[in-house]
Amino acid sequence: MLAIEYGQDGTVVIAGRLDAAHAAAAQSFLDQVEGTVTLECSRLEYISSAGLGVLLKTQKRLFASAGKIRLSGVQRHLMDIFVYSGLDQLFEIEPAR
Amino acid sequence: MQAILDVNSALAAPFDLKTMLDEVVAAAKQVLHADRGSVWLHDPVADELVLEVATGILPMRVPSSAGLVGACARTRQMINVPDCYADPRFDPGVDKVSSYHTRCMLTLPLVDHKGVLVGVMQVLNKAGGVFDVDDEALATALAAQCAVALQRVRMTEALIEGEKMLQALEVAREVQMSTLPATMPALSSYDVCGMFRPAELTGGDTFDLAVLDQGLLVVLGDATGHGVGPALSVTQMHAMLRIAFRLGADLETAFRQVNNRLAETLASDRFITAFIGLLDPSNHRMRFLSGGQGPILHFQAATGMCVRHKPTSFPLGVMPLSVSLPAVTLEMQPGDILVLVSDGIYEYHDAGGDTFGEQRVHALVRAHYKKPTAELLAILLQAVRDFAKGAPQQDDMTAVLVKREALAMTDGSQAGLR
Repeated sequence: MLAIEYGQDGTVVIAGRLDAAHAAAAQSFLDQVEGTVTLECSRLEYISSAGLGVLLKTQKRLFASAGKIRLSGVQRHLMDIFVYSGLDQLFEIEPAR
Repeated sequence: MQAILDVNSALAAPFDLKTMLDEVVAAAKQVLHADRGSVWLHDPVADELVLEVATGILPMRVPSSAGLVGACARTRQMINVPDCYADPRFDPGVDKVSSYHTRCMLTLPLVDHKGVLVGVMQVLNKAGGVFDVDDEALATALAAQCAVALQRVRMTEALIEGEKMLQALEVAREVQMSTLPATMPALSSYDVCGMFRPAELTGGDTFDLAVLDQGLLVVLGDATGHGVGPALSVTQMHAMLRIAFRLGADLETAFRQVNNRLAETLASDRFITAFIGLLDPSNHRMRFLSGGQGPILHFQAATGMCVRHKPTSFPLGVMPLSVSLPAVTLEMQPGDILVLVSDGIYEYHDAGGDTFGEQRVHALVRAHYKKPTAELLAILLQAVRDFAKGAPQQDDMTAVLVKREALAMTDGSQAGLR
């Protein structure tokens, strides 16, 4: 399961598994965001390479208009995925406390 | 009844669609003593009826609302017309085309076992009269068998198409596999091996081990996803790297050029993680760049530990690089092993959802580092199988091992190893 929606403070809250089965739904949501957006990930359990592709596509689109996605509350095991795919170099990431 | 059973038997033979429809028309004419017969197939996309088989007429299409055939398709009811030219639904156009005079006609819907209209059958001009109630019963039985046979032929054709697709995939697999090293390169003081096991017929991973002018080329790549699309991308990267190095490019230039080419061609949500290294066997230095391929494990025989290295950059194809990135150098001491393993191994799930993980790889390397790399790789794969307990492989599995041979000691033991 994957849930993605706007939080009360304007952040985008994502929860569950961002994998190939849910990539299209997440992309459809993120295609609508503009500017600089914080993606709150504290309840994100898993991200596959297809999920990374969704974030990457969105990041590239936002970069083109001087915006970006910022990831917050990223769990340690997901942090490893960003670090060992080198994508931590493209996203501003705030790990979970 | 015997006539119907004969038809049933005839229709059970393995036909292509055209032969089968010819058989149906011939049977209908025989059983119903009709002069002519035809079968129209329903094209649900165009909502048209296509005249596939008819005596004396070339194939033609009509809207599924036209004429008696259209009325039958709409209502799915048999229509028995004793005098066609007296029926306003009759379309004399076909008669004009075929220079024929249709006197009487039975029109029957062909409906498959799921209730879907597959076509319409018509029989024309009964010898010596018009079609009666007995003919209607016979025709209904014949139509039911025809619909079943038609469905069977279509399923058979779908299976054949599937088989053709499978054969095409087999060819794609052969092409992809042919790009991998057929044999492991022989290099003094080194023992190397690689393995690629796709999750499907083709896969999104690749590896390379080749002795070039620049040294031993070591590659492990993983395109997003698995199957035919990623297989094409990763095979393209593999080929571009080989060409760049054959043309004399250095590591940094080859990495940047291939990255930039992939950034132009890959979709914006696609990328390839790749370790690309060149080992100079004269000084035992492995220089590498890794676009998103990690962790990179360097087993150090002197300490018995695996040192992990992060990728040097984001994956290939993410965005163009305006400058070359600096390579990282590993010193390969006697007995050291470079271990490159794709995430299809690290993230292999058992039935309970646990993953094989990095620590198991570390432990296996530490326990079996003295063995030849091919044997170590076989042990790793067996460990994955044992861990999985039958859980299916979901992702491509690829591994590359590069081991500097331990120094032989005069007493027969090995130096540099604890």
